[in-house]
Amino acid sequence: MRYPFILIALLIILCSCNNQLVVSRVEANNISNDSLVMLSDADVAELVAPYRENLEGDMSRVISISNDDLVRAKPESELTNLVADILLETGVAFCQFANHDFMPDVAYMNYGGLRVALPKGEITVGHIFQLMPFENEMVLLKVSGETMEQFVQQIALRGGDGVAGMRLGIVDGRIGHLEVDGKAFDVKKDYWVVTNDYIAAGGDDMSMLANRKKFIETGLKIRDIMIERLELEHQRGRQIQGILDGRIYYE
Amino acid sequence: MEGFTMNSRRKFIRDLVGASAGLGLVHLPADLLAKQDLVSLSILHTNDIHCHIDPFPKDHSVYQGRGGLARLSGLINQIRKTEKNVLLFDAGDMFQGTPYFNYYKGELILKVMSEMGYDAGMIGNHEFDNGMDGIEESIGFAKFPLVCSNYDFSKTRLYDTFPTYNIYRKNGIKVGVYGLGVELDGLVGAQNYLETEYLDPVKVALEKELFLKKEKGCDLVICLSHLGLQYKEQKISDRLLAAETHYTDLIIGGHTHSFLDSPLKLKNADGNRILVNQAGWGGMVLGRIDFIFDRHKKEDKQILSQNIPVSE
Repeated sequence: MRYPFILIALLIILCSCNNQLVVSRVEANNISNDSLVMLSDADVAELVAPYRENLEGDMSRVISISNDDLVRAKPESELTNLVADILLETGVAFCQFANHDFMPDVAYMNYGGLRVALPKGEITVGHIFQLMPFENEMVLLKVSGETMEQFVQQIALRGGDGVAGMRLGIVDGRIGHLEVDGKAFDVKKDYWVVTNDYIAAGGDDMSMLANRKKFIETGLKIRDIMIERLELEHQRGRQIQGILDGRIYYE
Repeated sequence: MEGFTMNSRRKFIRDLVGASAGLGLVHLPADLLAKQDLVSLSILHTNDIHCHIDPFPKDHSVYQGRGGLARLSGLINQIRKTEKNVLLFDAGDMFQGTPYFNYYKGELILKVMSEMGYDAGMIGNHEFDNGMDGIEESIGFAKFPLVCSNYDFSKTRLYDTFPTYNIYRKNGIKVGVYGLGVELDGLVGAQNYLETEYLDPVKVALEKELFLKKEKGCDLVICLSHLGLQYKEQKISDRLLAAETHYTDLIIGGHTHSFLDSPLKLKNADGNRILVNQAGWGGMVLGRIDFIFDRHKKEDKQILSQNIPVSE
């Protein structure tokens, strides 16, 4: 009775047979979406238009007047100093508001994180978006004196950066002189640094900051801080005045 | 096998195939020939759009005038006019990057992508930029699913928001899609993802591809990945994942903003071909991969397997 056995076996095999399709050929092409694409989708354009109008209206809102062109430069510049000063002031205000028993000693804003110069004259919301296209938030870090020294050494190595609350003299890419909060730097002390979450995560070669004793997130976007502070000062009738005070200098 | 000659064996197989075809177990070759033998499926994809709804400015230092979603949609619609079977996917990081996001959160980008007719998206790390609230408030604007297999949202408010796989049927082609997100710790603030649990992407991929291929019988298995193309360190990436898989045909990647001239043709764990592609970022590139299936080839394979029992 071999025949029925084979019949059953065949039926089982057929039923379990793979019905899936097989790819016989693949063609691929990564197409550049540039000016060669002639057809725009009118529905998408129509959907976006009112949002764009509303946005452009807001972006052109004047929030301050600057007396100078603010250009970033090393070792210090009006632009890096302005942002770092606002960061330090806001860090202090945050600690007061949150009833913390400490204040940030220094503020750090990475030079590379400031993407454009601010022009002399009217400063708009759009300018600040161009200056800071990233969604970085303000954070507070408590670091040991040793970590602080490595951190400042990195600033010295790159020939300057955006800082507030310190005075740094650079000799051949190394720390020549360092004061924090008006006092000589003490490697045995802990320091509080206010900066952005990108730097706190070790970005821009600041990996030493991963070695921290405390870390506080504020949930405040640095761009929002900038816009609000500048607008507030503007309403009080104060214009942006570029400051160069020798906080970082070459010895 | 005495009394069972070669001729009778052939006749037997022919009869059997004819009989079973009526039961819908297998297709008749004649039935197949009546249809087109070759059927093609176009997979279109983007990644890391980052809310670049408008083209980059004409005076942009690197990407002068490139991108723009209205134009991208025009391009996609053009392809849809010539191709019958099209699927459009995105591999995450739709959010963040232009004031459109700062102003409208996920609303506008998800509305635009819905209008463009995306079939599925994935959750990139930047989708968490406004926290779980941000996702919850925006997700309703997406008329397409965000497929994510390795973020466990079960302890969060978003527990039933994201399918862990999805299946599409296009002209008889069954396509299974699963999604893999990048590790959140260190990349996304803890307060932004809360109790969302990151599961090992390799383990999840192996489970999902097996399930889609074997249990669901998909003809094609696609992974939407936000792991990143490759890293100097041994961090899991699309390249490393590809080498571990068995049934995934294509990994549509993102996160590393990689511009590839064409998809990488890599070998999976069984030494078979797996494609890995990525389409730059900011809507500047549309990835297009056409899979051409040969309906007839499948039949050959079956006939081959039918020979086994009788030639023992």
